[in-house]
Amino acid sequence: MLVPIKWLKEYIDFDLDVDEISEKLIDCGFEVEQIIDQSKQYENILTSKIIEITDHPNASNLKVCKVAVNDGEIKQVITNSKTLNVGDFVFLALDGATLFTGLSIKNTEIRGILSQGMFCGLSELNLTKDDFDYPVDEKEVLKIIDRNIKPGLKCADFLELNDIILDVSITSNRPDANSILGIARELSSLLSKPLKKRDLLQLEKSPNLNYKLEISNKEDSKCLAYYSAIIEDVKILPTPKIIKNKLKSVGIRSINNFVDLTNYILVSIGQPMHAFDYDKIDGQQIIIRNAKEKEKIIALDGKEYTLMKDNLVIANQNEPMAIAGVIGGEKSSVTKNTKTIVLESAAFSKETVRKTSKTLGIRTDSSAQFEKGVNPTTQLQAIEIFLFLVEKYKWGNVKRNYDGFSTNVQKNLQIVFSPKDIAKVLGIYIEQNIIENILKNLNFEILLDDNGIFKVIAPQYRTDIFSVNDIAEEIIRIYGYDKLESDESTRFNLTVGSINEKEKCLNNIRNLAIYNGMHETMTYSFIGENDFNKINLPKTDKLRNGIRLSNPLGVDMSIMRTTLIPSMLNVMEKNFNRSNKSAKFFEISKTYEWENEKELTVKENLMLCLGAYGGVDFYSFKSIIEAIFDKMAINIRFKASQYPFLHPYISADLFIQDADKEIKVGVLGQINNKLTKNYNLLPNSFIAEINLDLVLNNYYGYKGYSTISKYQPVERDFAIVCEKNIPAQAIIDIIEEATQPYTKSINIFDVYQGKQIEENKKSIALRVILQSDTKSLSENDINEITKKVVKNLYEKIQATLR
Amino acid sequence: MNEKIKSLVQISLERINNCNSINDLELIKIELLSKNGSFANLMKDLKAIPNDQKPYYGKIINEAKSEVLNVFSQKFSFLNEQALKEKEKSEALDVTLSKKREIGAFNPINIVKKDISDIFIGMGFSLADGPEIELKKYNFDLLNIPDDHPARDLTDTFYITDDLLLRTQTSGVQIRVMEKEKPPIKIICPGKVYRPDDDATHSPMFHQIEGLYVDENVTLKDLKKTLEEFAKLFFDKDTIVRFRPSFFPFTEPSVEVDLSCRMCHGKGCSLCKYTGWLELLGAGVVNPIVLEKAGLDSKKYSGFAFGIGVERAAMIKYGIPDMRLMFDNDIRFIKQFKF
Repeated sequence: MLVPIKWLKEYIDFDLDVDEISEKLIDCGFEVEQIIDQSKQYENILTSKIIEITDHPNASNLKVCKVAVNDGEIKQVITNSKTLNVGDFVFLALDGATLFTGLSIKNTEIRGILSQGMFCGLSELNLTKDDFDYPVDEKEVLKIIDRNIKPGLKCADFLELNDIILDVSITSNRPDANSILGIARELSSLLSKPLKKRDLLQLEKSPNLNYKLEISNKEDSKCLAYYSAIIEDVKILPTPKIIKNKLKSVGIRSINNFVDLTNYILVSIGQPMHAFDYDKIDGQQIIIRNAKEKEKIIALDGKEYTLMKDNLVIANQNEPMAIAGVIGGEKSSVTKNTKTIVLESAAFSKETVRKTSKTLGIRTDSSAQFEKGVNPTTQLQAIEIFLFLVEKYKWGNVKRNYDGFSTNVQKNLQIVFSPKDIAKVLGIYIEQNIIENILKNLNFEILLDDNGIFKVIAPQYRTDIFSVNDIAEEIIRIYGYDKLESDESTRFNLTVGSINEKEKCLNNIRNLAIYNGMHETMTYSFIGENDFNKINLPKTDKLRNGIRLSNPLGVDMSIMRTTLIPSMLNVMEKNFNRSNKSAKFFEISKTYEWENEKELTVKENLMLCLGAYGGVDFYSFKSIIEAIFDKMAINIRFKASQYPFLHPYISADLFIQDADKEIKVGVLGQINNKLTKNYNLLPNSFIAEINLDLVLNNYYGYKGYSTISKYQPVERDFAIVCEKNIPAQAIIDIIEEATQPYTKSINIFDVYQGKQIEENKKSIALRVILQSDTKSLSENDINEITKKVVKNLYEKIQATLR
Repeated sequence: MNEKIKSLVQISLERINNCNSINDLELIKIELLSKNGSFANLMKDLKAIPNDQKPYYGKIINEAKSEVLNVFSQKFSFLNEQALKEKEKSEALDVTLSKKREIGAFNPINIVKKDISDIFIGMGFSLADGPEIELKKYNFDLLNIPDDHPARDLTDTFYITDDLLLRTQTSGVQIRVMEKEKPPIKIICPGKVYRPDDDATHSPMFHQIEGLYVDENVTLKDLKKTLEEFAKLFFDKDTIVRFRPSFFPFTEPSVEVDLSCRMCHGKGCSLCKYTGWLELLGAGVVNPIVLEKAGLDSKKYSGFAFGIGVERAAMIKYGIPDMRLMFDNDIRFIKQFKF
């Protein structure tokens, strides 16, 4: 909210400078986001008097003007204006000025003659015709006609647009502070200074005898207060500068005296107001009711809106005249032909205004204020100030009466507490008299008994005080958070912090990944339908059944991802496109799936995704995964598999062994060739995705120490020939089975196909290390085992020794 | 005889001295000292010497032989030494060349997330976890966020159904933990949260670290002390903590917490936009209504809670100007963050 200092001073006197005021506001909970110096916008623009006009020697359409600024200083300005005369006063923008059109002024030569500035028109100064009480040509240089004019006055001062404006952010629990009065009230408590009394017209509730008007409220819960007053013989005029400039300082454009006055009241005390033309109120009836289904209204913005049944409207006998709290209707609006005005000052519930404004897509200053919350006690005061000003400026004939009602407004709750209760929240003890003073300055009603028990009631405008904690906050924000100093009594209960096994494992995995050269990515959890298409997923694949957002930022971010692979491929592609020749990435993030869509239960799976391209092959990529599982002491196995996004013959499922069963926990492989059409990627790119929840749920931790055998290990090498399509793992399994319980390791060190080997066959060389924990293996033992190995290899896969 | 011996020693020493290869030296050694070598021949010559002089000359020959042997062994070690030096020289490597083994790097968000978590774990907090796809109940209702609060709008929250949404804050975990456990509760919960914003300082997905401490007699002062200790460890020991009043429906009193700028220590610089302060987190005393809603007796227990923006902390820690860089995943960016 913008708070001009001059406007603020209408409500409270203070002699603190802007920085001090803003610091005070920050300290008590109102963040000052910006301090705007209005006169900065008019820097280096002065009033000046033209004392000589001559033709430009080198350009027939230009004039060279000599102008007086201050102290007889003469500037030379080149202009193309034809309307200027010697003796005219104009605004002169000098070197260093920046105009509202964005133009920066510098000393410059135009056709060989120096020009030291530029004469300003309306748009360059952010002014309009209406800002002047004499005719002004919008396209021409602006002439100043004023009794008190002299050269050398600062433009900002002359226009009285020289205020300092605080941009204050107001938290949603303090709608009462959403006005100049609200901020003044806070300052009054902070500075212990009273608010200034505002001039207003005392009214009494009675009908206006000349004008019949009946008000009826059909929606008690939506309209909490509704007041109206009538102004006769109104004169629609331009607004006086003093009000116009104030509105300008908070960014509101002047329209006419009545519109401006409603805006002025809105900003001043936070009460939105509206005006109807009395003669257009059919049946002289104001009915506050819900709209009828499909009822239509043309609003002040010129658009026709189709209303819904729960939109609150202000209607006459026949039709809606305004959408309550949001916007007025065109038909009933005040025009220059209006003779009699009906002023509306109401309190609509924030829920109804919010809903209506949202469903119709209309947002106005009025609706914004109602959404924040308008207290149902300020309506009459708003009318009283309004009428006072109408009478003061003689804009119409004001009678001292009003009509209207407010629903029964409850007083705030009484809260009972002792200073000890406050200390229990804050951790420091604040003396009774300090508490009393602070609450008194905040306009609380206070009852204090002899035992030091407070019974307090917050002022009517405060809608955020319900409990002792609320009171504690009021006290400490005024008393000062800097006084919350910790001392010996600050107590840290002894608790032991810990991370769980799962987190430890994740840290391990992350460390191993980076030691293997992987870089950790951070990608969004949402993907789009097209990502599924790009990874070649069939239409029926269950990965496509992702959880969908109802209000995504875009279609490509509309599905909670069921796999991290598309995100990883996008990262790889992006890096490849940026000439990063090789890269290895990993990410640990969740995927999401419905557990039961009807019951709204969701399963979130923690996944590890790896991706690499450039200088990497399948086996080196796989070795990273093997290293990670080795570090966690988890046995894994790979089996050839096929996925639409992976190369059909360079892809594998990853299993972990749990007791006797194998659990599939992931996949890895080279990307499918078709993917290189959808992504700009090298064909030799590799990806893997592993479900860490499955891994960790079957992880029982490191099993601990086991004895190192003191007996000699024995090495035996085998060279076998078998069918080409027999996987290495099958051979290892056979040998492992045959060599139990002495198997220490089985390691394939050569695979050969080609000359000397039959077609469709391959030769495999492997080294087996055997060792017993209980004895030295005899030559006989070894021979027995070797025989068994050879026999089993032949029986199971028809492998022969080479 | 004397002459003979002398001359043999002299010739031997000369030959040894002039020899520059181990192979040659071996040959010389054989020639002089083997069974049929020159010294052996000298011994044979003793046969012609009168018997009474034999011991004398025998001794002299042996002394001469051992002198030569000594010089041999010195020369051998010298030549061996030299040969080793030559070999080593020939093996010389340009040690400024490298065969680099690439080490990866962590994402800055995760580094800072872990740094912050570790500090609080050191203060006795334990890690807790909660779902990212959350029920409205936990994200809003039980946190005392009114039905008409703008944070619930479609423009501020991603919805899946009317009752299911992407959590907009980690605070929901507070409730989930309080429903299950009895005080003392002292947890931190780092995690992803989502809001429909996308610009230089907002990302539709970002990270928060939620902290919650509930026990008997936990106060606002304890919160300040906790955050002061955190600030000292996260920035440095001179860091000052400032509380500013604020409003969150689930805490009362609520505060915005500023830390004195780690670059300028309050003097004002571009990092803190010349304010001297860095806004890093929101916090407060847990609203008794929230305790009650989660099933705890608010007369007996009180607590504090805080929420730290991880990206913001990472931007401050590393001087990263645009939040989107952290989600861009350019390897040249990630590589920079080793710790």
